[in-house]
Amino acid sequence: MDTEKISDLFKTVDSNAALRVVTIILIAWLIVFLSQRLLPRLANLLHSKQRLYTLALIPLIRLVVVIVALVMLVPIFIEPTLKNMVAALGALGLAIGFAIKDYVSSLIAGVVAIHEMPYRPGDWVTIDGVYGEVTHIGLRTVELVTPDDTVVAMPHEKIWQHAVLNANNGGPSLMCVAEFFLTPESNGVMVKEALEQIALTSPYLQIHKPVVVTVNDEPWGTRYRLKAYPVDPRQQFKFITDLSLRGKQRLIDLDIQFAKVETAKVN
Amino acid sequence: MDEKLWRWIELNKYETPSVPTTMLAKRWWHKTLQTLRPTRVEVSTANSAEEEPKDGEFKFDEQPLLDSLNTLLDQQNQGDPRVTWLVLAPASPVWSVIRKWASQNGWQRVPMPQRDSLLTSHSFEELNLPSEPWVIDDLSCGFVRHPLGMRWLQAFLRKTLHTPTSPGLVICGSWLYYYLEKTHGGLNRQALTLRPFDTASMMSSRLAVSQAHAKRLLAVSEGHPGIAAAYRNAFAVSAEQTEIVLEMPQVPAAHGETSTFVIYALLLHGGLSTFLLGEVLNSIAPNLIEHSLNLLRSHGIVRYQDEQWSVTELGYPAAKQFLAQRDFNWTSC
Repeated sequence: MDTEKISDLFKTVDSNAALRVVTIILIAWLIVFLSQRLLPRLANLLHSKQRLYTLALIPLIRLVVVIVALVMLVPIFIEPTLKNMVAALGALGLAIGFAIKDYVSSLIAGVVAIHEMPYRPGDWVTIDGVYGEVTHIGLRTVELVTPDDTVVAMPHEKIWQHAVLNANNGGPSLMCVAEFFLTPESNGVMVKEALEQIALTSPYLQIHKPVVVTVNDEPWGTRYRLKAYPVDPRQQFKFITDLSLRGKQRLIDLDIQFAKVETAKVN
Repeated sequence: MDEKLWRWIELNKYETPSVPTTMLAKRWWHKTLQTLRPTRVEVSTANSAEEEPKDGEFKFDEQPLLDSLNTLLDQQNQGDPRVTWLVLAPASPVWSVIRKWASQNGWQRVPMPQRDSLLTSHSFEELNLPSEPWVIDDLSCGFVRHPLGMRWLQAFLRKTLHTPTSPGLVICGSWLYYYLEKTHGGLNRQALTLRPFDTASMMSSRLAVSQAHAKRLLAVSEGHPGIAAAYRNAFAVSAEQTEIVLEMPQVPAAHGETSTFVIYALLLHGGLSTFLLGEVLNSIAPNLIEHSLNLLRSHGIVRYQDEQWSVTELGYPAAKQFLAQRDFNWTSC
């Protein structure tokens, strides 16, 4: 009896309807495929905000296409009455609850991620301890590329349990920090001034953003943190390397002593 | 000649003249084509932009420029010992007359250190500003973007923060001024710049030979008279000509990151020697800098003259657009 009720929900699919189904799926797939192929290429030719905006279009286009395709497909199979829809959704809920809840959880989290935007393509994020650039937002997973060029597929459902740390939050501003560990006797004012000069003379520096040096006294010496922004977030590692190498050289030229583990032990 | 051709305005009131939409569309289309199909180019040392100057080239009359500076001087109260900054775009005709103006008016030139010596580790003699009116005719001479190369300029900025005993005039490139304003907490000084040319100014200065020519010159130069003059000299146009093509060189897309750094460094310093460019960009591999320079040179964006690399007048609009496209610390002036 129940089987009969469920089968009553569905329309008879003739060859004409089947052709429409195939056409809708093909067109939807083609749009998604082309947007995933062409937009990243176009984005890589652009810079700054234009690049980030172009990348952010990809998951949005896919979501719209999937919704439109579903809206067009469902009436082909089911007569869209209230009774039929309630029955169909009930059956679907049962299947999700038992069999594919994790998968569906990720799909729903993917939709939430597109709406709330805790990460967008081009963002530099830390999710569950993994840091990398968001290169692709899929239906179920978000793809990160780590600084060591490893691709990590992270299920969207991580956003339910884990904090998402976003370093640039959809914009081109990403703070970089270079750390210097010096002996407590070092002339703090001179070091601060020298490190500021290092940042101001880096070719990677975004001059619209401030350069800040913070100082912390630790049991083993003094920690100086040079904070500044690169023009392009993708240059962050080159920028930190530039600040660290030139900063060290300048401090050596100024006869500033670096803190060492041995020093801490003796003291 | 229009007496009001050269007018000084406050820097924060500077507005780039609007360019006709059709020309913007054409420019956008060329840029899109270049972005989608970056052409591979062979690097050569030949460069059309380094030709010898031809006879009969257009030159601005110096006297109205000198008069405009005199008017400015009259407007400024001579008893008021304030420092006035004149912010000039690259290739501005003011660069070539400022020394003459200073000597005519008895303003004393402040001695500046040699650029190469800025990077040596010794300290400089204490900077003392003269007690009579003084002028610095190119501030960039006292600056190299290097931890050692900023000391003289910073000492100068500290000195002028306290009220000097006599009026001073500082001539500063627009790119350097913008950099200093952003990195030194806002200069908060009286800064003036030349009003940009519009089509009427192009005509009244006899820079353009027809209205159509004036529009074209305005579109490529964005109102910079020095750049417009360079385009006028590079592309001969008759008054009857209706189809006017002023071909702008394009910055090659290859080696984009290094080219960005090189172009910016050259604009910031108003030109650099090979040695100093290497020092300014010492985190970039020297072979990459050399390759980028040759590539830019072969496209007419930079030139090597008098042992200095600099951005060409014809290449300046493209170089500026290239930096603006990358949101790279650019200035509209």
